[in-house]
Amino acid sequence: MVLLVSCSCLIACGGPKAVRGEDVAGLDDQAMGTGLDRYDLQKLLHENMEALQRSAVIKRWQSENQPTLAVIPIRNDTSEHIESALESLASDIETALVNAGHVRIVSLERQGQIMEEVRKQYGDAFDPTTVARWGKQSGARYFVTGKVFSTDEMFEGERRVQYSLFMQVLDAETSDVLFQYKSTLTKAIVR
Amino acid sequence: MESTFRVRGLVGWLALVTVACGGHAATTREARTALDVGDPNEALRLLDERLEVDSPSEVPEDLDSSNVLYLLDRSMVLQELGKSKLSSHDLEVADKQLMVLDFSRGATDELGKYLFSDQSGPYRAPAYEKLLVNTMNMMNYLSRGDLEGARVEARRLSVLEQYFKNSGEAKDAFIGPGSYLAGFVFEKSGQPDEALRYYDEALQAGKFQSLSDPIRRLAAVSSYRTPRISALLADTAATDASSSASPALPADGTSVAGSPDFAEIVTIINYGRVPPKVAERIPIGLALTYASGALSPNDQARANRLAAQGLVTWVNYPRLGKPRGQWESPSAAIDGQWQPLDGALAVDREAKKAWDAVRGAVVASAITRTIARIVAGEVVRKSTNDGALGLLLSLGTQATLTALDTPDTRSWSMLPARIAIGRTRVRPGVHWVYTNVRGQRLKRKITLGPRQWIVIVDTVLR
Repeated sequence: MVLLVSCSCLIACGGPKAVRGEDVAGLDDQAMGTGLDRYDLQKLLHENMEALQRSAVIKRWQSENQPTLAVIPIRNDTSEHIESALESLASDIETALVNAGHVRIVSLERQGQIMEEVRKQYGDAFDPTTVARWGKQSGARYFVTGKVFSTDEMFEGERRVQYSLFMQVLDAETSDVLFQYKSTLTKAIVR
Repeated sequence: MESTFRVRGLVGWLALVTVACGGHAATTREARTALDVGDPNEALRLLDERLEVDSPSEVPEDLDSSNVLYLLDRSMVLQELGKSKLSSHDLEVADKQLMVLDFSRGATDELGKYLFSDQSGPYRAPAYEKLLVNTMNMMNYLSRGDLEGARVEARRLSVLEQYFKNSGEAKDAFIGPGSYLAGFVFEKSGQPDEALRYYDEALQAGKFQSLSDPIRRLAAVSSYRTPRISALLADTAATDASSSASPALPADGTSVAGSPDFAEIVTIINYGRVPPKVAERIPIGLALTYASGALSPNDQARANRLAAQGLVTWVNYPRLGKPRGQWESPSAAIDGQWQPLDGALAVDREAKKAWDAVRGAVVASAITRTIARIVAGEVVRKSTNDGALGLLLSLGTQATLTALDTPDTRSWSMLPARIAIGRTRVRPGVHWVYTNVRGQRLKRKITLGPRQWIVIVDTVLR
């Protein structure tokens, strides 16, 4: 009886409750802040992968019979703590490339030394000799990398963050940029 | 039995009124007292209790104004305890929520402030508190050697600075330590132009002796110049030419010149505590003096009239309490040699300036509310033809409105009173770092390789 009364009180009070995405229509579509959520990641990934599919580098990979490729973590140059979202995006890129069947993926996650060096290189552009060494160490013929920038502004009780994701495909031996594409996305808190 | 219930009811009512009168500050008094006696663990437990969570890793579901302030307070206690990841988490949650609270504050909240209670509506943090959220979190990230996270905080700080500059709210002093640290972040990220831009901002805010050497090193690889940076470079060159002593010696006495592989130790000391706001009753005459200029002539005349009739004698309003530890001089030594510390920011002074800027308006709203209560009581009394019942109802109305009227004592009360920064280049190898802050002595053994750096953050909120 007490439990029943407590439960009815909780429902009547309309307090917070846990739900599943499929239980609430449009839950995953609703923006909860100015960070990047799954919806945003899918949009950015979709645009970039479509552009990649149309690019000349795909024909090159097809002629090379599934060359090896590694995805370097995407650099966060924004004003939001979206590191975990970008890790997720890098994994999504790997998944999309593996499933497309053009390349074989070499994971850098277990290559601690390279990952450490990647993080230290975050401040400036990748040095060609370093990229070549990473290629030899990891066995990757190509690298996919990227960076996300943001323009963040506040004005009269509103905040707008404009994201730009640059994705690149690098030749590990020469550091030549074989593909580059930019996709954009805006998140905001408005009145 | 019935009388027991009555007594309990009365005690409950009195407790409610007491809490209401003390406002938010009264709810953190015990935690602040725990910090005063050097027991941050107890302060953490008390703040968790306020947040109604079981551990410091938990954040309450309801992030109203009070809970956001408890989170900010907890972040500082966690920083003192060396739990920088948890401190970062609290600051990041509070950072976003402060913005939401700020944006959601509307005209009705302002109206409520003048009619019912100073504490009505969401908390609107002053500029120095908002800027220090990112500054404090940059310290957390740097203490973990996480440049990527620190860069995000530096960018967030820049967005806020720009916003406050555009709105005319930001004063140079606020941005001193944040710009200093942002410059360090970009220097160590290999972005000399960006680093010099931030260091220039820091120099605009105050004198930082410890920046001379880094700016000179960066200027050798960057063409970024401002009049301040050019002047500093010219001064340093002149000093070098006229002095036979070697410039900026590292702790072991070896010359910096020609030593690009030297490591660096940065010591940040946050000490003391900003003044909390305290609920206080002040005589109407003094309140009218404080509010002169902020009160309309009509309200001023009405308040004087009511005061002369003896109907208004006291006004409830929040006063700024006393800071702690602002006169203390912390010290740091590396391998037995004392290191100079730059006074980066007197947060307590900024808190006082921010309070002085709004005090007139706050007291004016307190007087307006007091007048509104008297007028409401008079209306009730007259509507019942001035009978005994009317008098009782009038007193009841005034008592209810008085109980609802809570002076706004909300603030980030566990911010340090002062921030000091020191940095020293050292040979790669093992070093001993000693700090003495408010009587708390710490000794650390650190090992640094060539070009490595470490940021030590000592926060003592006593």
